[in-house]
Amino acid sequence: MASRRNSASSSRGMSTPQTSCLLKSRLSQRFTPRRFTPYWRTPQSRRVATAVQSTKGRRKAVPTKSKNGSDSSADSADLKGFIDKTWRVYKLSPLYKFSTAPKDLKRYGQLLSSCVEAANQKITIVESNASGKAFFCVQKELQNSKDDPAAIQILIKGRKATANTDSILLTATLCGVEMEDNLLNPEVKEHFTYYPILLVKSTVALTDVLITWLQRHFDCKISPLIFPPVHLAWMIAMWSGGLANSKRKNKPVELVYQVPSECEGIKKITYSIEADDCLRVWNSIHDTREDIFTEEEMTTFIASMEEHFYSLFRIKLNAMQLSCVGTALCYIGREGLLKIYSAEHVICILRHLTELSVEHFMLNM
Amino acid sequence: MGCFSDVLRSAFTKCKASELENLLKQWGYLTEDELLQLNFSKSKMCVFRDVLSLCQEKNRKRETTDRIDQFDLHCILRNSAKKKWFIYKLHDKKPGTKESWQSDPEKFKKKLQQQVDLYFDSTASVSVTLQDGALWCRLYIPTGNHNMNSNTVYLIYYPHCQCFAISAFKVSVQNFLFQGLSNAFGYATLTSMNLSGLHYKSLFQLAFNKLGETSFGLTKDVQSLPFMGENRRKRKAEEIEMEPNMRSEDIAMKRKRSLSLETAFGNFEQPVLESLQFKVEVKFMGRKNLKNFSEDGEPIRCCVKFEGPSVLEGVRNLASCGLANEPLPKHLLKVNSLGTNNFVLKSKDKS
Repeated sequence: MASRRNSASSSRGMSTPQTSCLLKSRLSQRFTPRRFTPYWRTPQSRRVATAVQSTKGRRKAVPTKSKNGSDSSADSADLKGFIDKTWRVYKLSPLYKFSTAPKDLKRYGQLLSSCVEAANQKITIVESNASGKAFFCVQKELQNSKDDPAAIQILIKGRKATANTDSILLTATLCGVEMEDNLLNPEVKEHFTYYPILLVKSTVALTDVLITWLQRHFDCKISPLIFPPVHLAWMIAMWSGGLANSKRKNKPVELVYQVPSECEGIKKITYSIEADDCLRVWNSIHDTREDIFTEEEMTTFIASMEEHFYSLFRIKLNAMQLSCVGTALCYIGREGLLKIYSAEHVICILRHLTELSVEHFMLNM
Repeated sequence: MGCFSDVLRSAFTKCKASELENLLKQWGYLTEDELLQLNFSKSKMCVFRDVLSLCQEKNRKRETTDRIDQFDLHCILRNSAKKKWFIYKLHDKKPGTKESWQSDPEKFKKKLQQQVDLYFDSTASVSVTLQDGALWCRLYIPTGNHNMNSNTVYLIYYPHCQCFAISAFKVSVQNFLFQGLSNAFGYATLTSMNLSGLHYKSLFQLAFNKLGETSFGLTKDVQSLPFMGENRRKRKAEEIEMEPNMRSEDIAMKRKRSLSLETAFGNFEQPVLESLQFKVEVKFMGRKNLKNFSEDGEPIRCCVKFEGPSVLEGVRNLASCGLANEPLPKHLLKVNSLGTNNFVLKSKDKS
């Protein structure tokens, strides 16, 4: 049973053979030694399997405030580098023999610089930069709990063909914010470091160079963190009232639905609701004294918004998929695009992304 | 010489490499021998440099500048979908306005040039051409910003019509530009119809439906629309009609839906609109599952935008695919005759 499980997990491509047994599997306790017998009683209802484990019927609590009690307002000045930039979000498997010692970070910078130079010479990078120097440094402002790995910022500076001065060509951050517990087994903890998310802001070509280098050097697997519609709905419910008490005018809450391809002529429907009105609806569903949101509240909220839309246009939004959502705090696209607007809520958003990445990784184990 | 090289470069970037040869022949400024010297198998920029050097050799700066402006206009004419067009309506015709100039591009150019010289710098220029019954104009209005593209405005006007299409322009020139245009057309004022898109023929058709200058309201009664041209196609037949051997369980419901959509939208393809926007301010109507929602009468403000290659066709298809229930609301069905693609929906004030 154990050997079959290992081969199945490695064949999915998410983990390398070294990492397949590293993380404590939450699912391991569910498998019983019972022999496979297909002759069960006919079920009264059938459930269609979904790619993401369905939480229907279970109450799922999602904390909104930081574990250490702060809303990161004191650190918002340090986190301004994350706002108003379009990031691509990736998930990673544990990195083998990754060190945060200053001399190792310096060495990584030199190795990545030579890799970028080699890619330049192969003319794989369109901007044809004269130089691409990489720098690795620790970002202390993202380490919120003792279980969090030291966040690493990666910068690649260079000069474009048409420019006279150097500029930053790539900004990336490896981090894990407020991870619940240390997910690595004690016997392998020394050799592996687990960063659940990688944020990258750069061109596609340079991003590919960075990802390829990280995968080769640290024997890990990096892939885009996809947000299915149910996760996007959670984010809307959690963050639509994020800046409600502030005096500034908030961006409207935006839901972008993708129209199925068989309906030719319309590609997407963008449904924006004023932040204050959205909050009014949300407060009628959720008790503002409670810190946690439940799945029932989230589904009621989305359903009532879609019902309002239906009464106006007689179009069934629930038959379409959410592809992007926007709130006053951030804008998130299904394909792993992220733009954060509020520096005070960077930790909160990254914490949630960390949780999603860890959950996704656990499901694929 | 630097100025018309920018115009020529901009014109070349607008058109496809495969169209260059025909465009240059139509332009007529280069002789046949000069055209033979050009190698169209090379890249666009190589051809541009060759054409530029041929123009510079002619050593007739004023004429060359005018002819290159004409070339730029022809490129836009051929690739009109690269520009976003905004429809404006003309109000209050001035008494005694002569209309004989409207069908003559040279007279119209002279009239427009007079107005442009009145309000703008002497370096402002006007080019006009007649194509498919419409007057196409190119206005170059220099401002402090030397970016040529932002200083150039294009206009499409069908003679004797009460509306025209214009490309994007700077807010700083709007007042003088509108004053000059209303004087040139012989009207007192002009207002936006809140109608914009990439397909100018569809925009004109929608504007005309609203202005009532056609004798039909529904597109179903029309075999060929004046602006949609001869290429207007009948819609593809439904799948159940195409395949006689196909059996469907709810064929009666599908046929009924197909008939009602035909009544609402007609047989022909809808005019092409890339976006349709509704600003809505009505009472919240999603409170079926909400026990604690306060009925204080405050409306919920939201904005809905439909986007795609042909939104009107898409709205029809939403119903035929079962993603929308019939009957569709009037504000979706009547878009064809309302002459705008930006709507405001508000609750009726009971007081």
